[in-house]
Amino acid sequence: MRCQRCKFENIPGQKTCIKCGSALEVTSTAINVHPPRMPRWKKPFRDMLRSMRKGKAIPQDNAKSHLTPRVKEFFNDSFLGLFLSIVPGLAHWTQNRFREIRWYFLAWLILLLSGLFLYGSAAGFICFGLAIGVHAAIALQYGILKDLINLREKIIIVILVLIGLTFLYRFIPRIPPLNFDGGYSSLTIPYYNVEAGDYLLARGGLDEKALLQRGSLVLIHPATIGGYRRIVTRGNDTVIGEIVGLPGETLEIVNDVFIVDGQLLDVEKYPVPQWMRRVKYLPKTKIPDDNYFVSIRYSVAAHGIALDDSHISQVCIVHKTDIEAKAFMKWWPLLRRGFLK
Amino acid sequence: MDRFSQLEFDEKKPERKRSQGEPIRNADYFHKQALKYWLGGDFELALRNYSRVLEQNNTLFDAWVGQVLMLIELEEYKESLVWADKALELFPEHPELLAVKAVACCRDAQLEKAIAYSDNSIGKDNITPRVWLARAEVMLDRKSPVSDNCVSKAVSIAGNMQAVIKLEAARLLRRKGSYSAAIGHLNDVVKVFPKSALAWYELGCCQAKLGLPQAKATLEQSLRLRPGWREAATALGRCGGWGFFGRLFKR
Repeated sequence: MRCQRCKFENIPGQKTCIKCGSALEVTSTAINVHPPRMPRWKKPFRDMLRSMRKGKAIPQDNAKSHLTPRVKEFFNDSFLGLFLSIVPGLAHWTQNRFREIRWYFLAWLILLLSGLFLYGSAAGFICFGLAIGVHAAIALQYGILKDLINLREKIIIVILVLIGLTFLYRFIPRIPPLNFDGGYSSLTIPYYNVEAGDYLLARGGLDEKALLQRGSLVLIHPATIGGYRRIVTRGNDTVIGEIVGLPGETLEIVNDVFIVDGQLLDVEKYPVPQWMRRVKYLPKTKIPDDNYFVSIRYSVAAHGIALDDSHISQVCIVHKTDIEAKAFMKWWPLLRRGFLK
Repeated sequence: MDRFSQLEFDEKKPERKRSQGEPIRNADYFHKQALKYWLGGDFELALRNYSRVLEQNNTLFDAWVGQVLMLIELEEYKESLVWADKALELFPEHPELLAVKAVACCRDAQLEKAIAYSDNSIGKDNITPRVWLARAEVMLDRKSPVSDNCVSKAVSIAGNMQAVIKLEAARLLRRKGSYSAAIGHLNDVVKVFPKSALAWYELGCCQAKLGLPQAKATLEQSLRLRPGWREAATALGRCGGWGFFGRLFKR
């Protein structure tokens, strides 16, 4: 009787191998030879568990790299990888692992471009949200999750990364020299073909010494009336209004028309907002130095107080430092996209 | 017409040629069937045939290993581990069984266990080619360059089952993205097993991944050998659908 395992020639009649203990002959006792099978419904759950376990992989010490061993060692740190992942895929690229996240990268790129194209619309914000999610997945896939065994720690780090990236996406366009910002127009201005609720792109970093022109559309934080919460378009704190009066000028409203220094302004270009029309006559108001009269829409009725002349001055006279950016392009809706006159 | 042909003489008519009948369905027969189905890429039927082998003779080691391997191919890793443990009761500490356990753990993303089983199997006597293949799989998962040597070692000690081991090695290499190395092995395999749908399928997939034009013909050959094979049909469908950028990105 030759053993299957160790090839040792055993004595005839022997049931197990003398050398290694393996079974030598057909055993008289019934052995179940049919293996257990997995029910089909379990497969997706097992796949999910497997993919979760894959996050906790052994560090790939011998992975080939573009970099010298010393630099590679420096980049091996998971937290540094997380930091490098501010640029999606950069950390993976340093480790020659870009292939692992190439589809994520493509998805991120498509979502980002879609988000930029649809910027200002709900679809655009959804695209940005998804892009942030994919970006977070890329960053976490690099390695930070591998170092964490505890599920609670994993959830915390995922939330932190998502919050961090949301701030990043919000503020990167506002950093010089980009200085991009945007806001919803509060007015319908036929001259510019702008309607209330249109999303306009604006550029910040305005020179404080330079005087803004009359008719410029600017992004401002409107003041409050009587300590009540501001109520402007779409619940945003910032809104786009139109500069009507310049520093030092005298402005009045007569019969729904702006009069600046005795000159009537074009109604097409400088329309008086609805809430100001309720005040039949705005007495001559001197605009202080370093301030502008910015025409915006304002919901006074929501405050439950009677409208007063002083409210108009309170809301519309804006210090130059409160002007955040100057609009230069209509971005949404898509069909009216184009630069302002 | 022969004029005496109708005359009756007292002699027996020559017997009609006897049909050979069905082959004897012994363990050897089912083992060959299992191998045939494995080469055809039908792991479910291969598993059933391995079970039939064991119904006939439950000491056949290859059938136990075959069952575990088929369970792994069917992605039933937990069951394969249970079955490997059962086989280990009959063949204690067998390196090949430990190695297939390592493979099951590795594919189930339990790398620490996989490494432990692989280390254990390597340390035993009478190391089989599958032990080295398992080692290669574990090492490939860690992206270790040692894996190439493990594959070479497995092929070199394979002896008369070199083609089978080469096919297994090629499948492993394909799974880990080493397509050109896999093609090298698969070209030898299809010479030995020209009717293996699995080998042609693997070869076709590797060629498709590298963007080689012959991939389509290779996958069609695989489908000819096993008509209606969904995986091959899917791979064939994917084959021509990539544009320039798609192929560029696929690499």
